[in-house]
Amino acid sequence: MARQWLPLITLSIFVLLAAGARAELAYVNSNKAPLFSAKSFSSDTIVVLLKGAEVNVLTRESRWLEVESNGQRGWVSVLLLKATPPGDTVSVIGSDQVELEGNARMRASAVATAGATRGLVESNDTNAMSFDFAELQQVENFTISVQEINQFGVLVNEGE
Amino acid sequence: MFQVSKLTVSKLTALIASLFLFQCASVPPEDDFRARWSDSLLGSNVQANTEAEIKFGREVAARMLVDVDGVENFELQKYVNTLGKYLAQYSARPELEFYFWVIESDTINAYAMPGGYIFLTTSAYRLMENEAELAGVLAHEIAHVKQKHIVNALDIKTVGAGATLTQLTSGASDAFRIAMDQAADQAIQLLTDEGLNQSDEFEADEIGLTIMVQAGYAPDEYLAYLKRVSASKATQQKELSHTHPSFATRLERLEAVKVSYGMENLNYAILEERFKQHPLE
Repeated sequence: MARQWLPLITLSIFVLLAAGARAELAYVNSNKAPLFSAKSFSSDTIVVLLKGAEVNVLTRESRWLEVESNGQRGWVSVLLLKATPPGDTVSVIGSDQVELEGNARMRASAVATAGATRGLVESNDTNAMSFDFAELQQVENFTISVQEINQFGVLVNEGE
Repeated sequence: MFQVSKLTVSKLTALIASLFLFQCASVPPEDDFRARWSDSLLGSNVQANTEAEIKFGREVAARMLVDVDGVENFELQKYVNTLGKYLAQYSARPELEFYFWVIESDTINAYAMPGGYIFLTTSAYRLMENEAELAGVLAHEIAHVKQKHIVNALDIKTVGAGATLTQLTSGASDAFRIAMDQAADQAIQLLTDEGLNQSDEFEADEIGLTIMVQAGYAPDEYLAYLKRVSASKATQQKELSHTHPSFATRLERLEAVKVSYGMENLNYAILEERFKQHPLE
């Protein structure tokens, strides 16, 4: 008799464990996530949650999640939360040898030649493959500090 | 004495097993938004995927910059960059550094490349009247990056003979490097000629609107800008029309988005004065 209950008991334990480990937790993956009193941008902002904040998911809707965080309950846009904590900023700049225009052209030439050898490209015209990594570096060197971004946002949050 | 038949135990076991499977099948929060959201082209290593996305975006951006030049007004470039980075705080892609660049072009358009590289044309900027309109356009492009629309639209598996983007960007073999170049070509074609599919554009409109609103900008200004673009000279809007769904359809959907998110009558920032302090010339 007891043996017939064994699978049921085992499964029940799994279910209870799974319920405990289930994705009831979510993490703010944006720098900021306003917690609204209702599922509407017109409702009051209770608090602005910050990146990495852990929340308990209470209700799921298609575009909103009702969550609880530090005793405060409200609604957050589903777009700002993920089931995993946010990672650090990833950078590949300077991690390879293809950044300088000259190197890129050499690589393009090698690729076109190799491709032509294998019949994978129509011609080995290297002019068709060019890059402007010099201007791209100019774009990437345009740094804005966190303080400047925060200062910029002050006027926005005052509204108009 | 309470008697339970073997059949009852089996049924209970099946029921609990179903509950277990249901719980295991629960999706993480953001995946609810679009079921299509699979990173099928990417592998399972998040860090490697992000690096591949950025490397690919750099290739595409560097190619775009062969044919176009950034404006030599660095006050303006700083203004657009600051606004873009301010908006990107609400993108839920904290692992990406976003870059914004105003490029000389007589077509009204903006381009979002993988990894966070976003270009805005001078013609698009000229047509704007306030900062909220600029925020709306940049937020739309940030949404394309957030959703990896270009990467998902590319048939990299065909181009790369079953390779993932991570493998293509590794440069581990001539074949991968060739495939990478072909993929970059396809990306440029998508950006400047073919355009993304309509569902991607609608999705970028919707997500872009939520980004600009959460950042504090009035959503109606984005709609006003789209209306102005649709009314501009046909020659100027030719490219944008070609790569985007009709303005009438987009505006109709955006009005519906506003209602569903409760975005009507928000007294949010427009900032015409600050925008006017940053002219092109």
